Amino acid sequence: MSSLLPFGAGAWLFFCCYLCSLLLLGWLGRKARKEDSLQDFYLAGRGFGFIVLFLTLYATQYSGNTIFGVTGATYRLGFAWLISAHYMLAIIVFYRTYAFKLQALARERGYVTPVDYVRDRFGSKTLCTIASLVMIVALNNYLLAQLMTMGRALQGLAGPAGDIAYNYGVVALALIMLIYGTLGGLRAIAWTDVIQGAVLFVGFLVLLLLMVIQFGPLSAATEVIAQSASAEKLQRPGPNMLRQWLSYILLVGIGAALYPQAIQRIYSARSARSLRQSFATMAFMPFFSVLIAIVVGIYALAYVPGLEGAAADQVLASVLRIVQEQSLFGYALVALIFSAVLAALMSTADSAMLSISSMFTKDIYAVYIRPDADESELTRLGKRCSWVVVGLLSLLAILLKEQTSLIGLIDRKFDVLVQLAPAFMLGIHWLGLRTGPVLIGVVLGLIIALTLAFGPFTFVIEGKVWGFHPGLYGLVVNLLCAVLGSLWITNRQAAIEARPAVG
Amino acid sequence: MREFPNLHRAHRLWVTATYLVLLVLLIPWYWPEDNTAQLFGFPLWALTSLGVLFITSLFTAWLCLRETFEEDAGR
Repeated sequence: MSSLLPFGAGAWLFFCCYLCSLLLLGWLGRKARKEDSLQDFYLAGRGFGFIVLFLTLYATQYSGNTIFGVTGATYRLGFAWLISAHYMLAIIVFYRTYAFKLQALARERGYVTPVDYVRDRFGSKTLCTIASLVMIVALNNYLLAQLMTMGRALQGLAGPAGDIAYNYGVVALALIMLIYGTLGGLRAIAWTDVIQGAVLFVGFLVLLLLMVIQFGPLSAATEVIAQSASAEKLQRPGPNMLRQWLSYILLVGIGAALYPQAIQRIYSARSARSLRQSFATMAFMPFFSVLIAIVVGIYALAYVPGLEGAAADQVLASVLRIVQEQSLFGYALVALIFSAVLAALMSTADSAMLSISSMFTKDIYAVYIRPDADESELTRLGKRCSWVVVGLLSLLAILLKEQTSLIGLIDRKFDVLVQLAPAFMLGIHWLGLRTGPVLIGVVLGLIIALTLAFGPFTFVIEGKVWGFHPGLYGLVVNLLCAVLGSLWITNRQAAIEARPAVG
Repeated sequence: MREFPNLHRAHRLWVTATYLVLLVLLIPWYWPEDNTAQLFGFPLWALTSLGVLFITSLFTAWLCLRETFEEDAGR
């Protein structure tokens, strides 16, 4: 593999040490397990303190997309992609609406999967199944995207041998992730997240340093853009983009706050205090990660102009190649950043993998196929499920290598995930929220979101209606149905109780 | 369905109102579209938006930690 990439033996030794440390942590996580139970495997015995919880939340929330996607989007749209910093903070704001109460409930009632809360709160098998399917579909999509980005990370640096490097990248990284993930469960994944989160944090700071050393101050880059054909990318966005700005804040803020892997980290907190401290620290992370990725995108726009399409999405790799060729110091820093990219991708993908397996075993298999299965059997099945899911998605990632438009088409995860917001964010506070209206609301919301997203409508432009994502239109109807329906039922019951008895 | 406790009161109105004001200020609709003045390499509209984002971060962190402070004071 080293012959395909412009890295020497020293860099590859560094990568191998890094990847071996992940395997070692997987083994240590297995040794540290206290019992053969779902709670121990999927929630690490609910023992995460502030440092581990913060770094695992950070490594999970900031994915490969944060580095590659944000840089690429900034390259295409300019400063307008400050949107991404805003929606990353919005996720924390929306967590705050329900996470602390959910953590207390999860500890008291032994929740393992997000759907355990839905089951306990609403007691509806149909609602639970819909919630499970929505979350599993959204996560599979997310995991596939991470696997494809793993391949692209190597492809971008490999030059002419990119196609082979892509396949190697997907298979090798997925295999390592599977081994440590199934060895030690969430405990191993969170421990690897500590390393990955630290590497990611340092990597972002190094990336900023590297840009300033290589290209000079940001003001010079902005000046270059101002004199170029891309000058409009410095201007305030137009009305449609401003509407999209609001839409992204709401859709990603609500949707990502409902990611199952994030909810399971809420469950795994040792105390409400460690959870609060973690979220308080996370509130500042957009400045140390997304903002840096935006700045790198601006440097790329100034000094690597003219890229379009998929090349624009991989502009970070192009920038890194330039830096790498300049000096030994630049080469070493690029190796570190490459490790950070791998860290971001693997820490997000492994969490998604574990969540999918937990929901399949506990919410589908244990409910519909073998209700009498014991915890040991479910844990074993969960591990097998991880191998099957990641194996199939890796194959799909290789087959869909060139199908970027297809991936864009199925990338509607937030549009469907936000439909669960009333059940989680409202249901946990308001006892008056009734099961029936919530169920009907979710179904209506999903129908509206998916119909608008995939239907042949001329008023849907670039997947949005008047600048707003289809999922938000679905959510408005969903929310109205849940709230008004619950109020109507409550008033009707009150009227029946108040009616004087006849005879 | 087991009995489900009503653990806490709903969010206070002022927290929601503050977030709404911050949201209105975050999105730079109030800047003229053709204003290209810059500071530290950032267009002024982007820098203002980042400033409001930082205030939002501070407010969110304070809200998260407030209950921890109250717990400590209670002890």
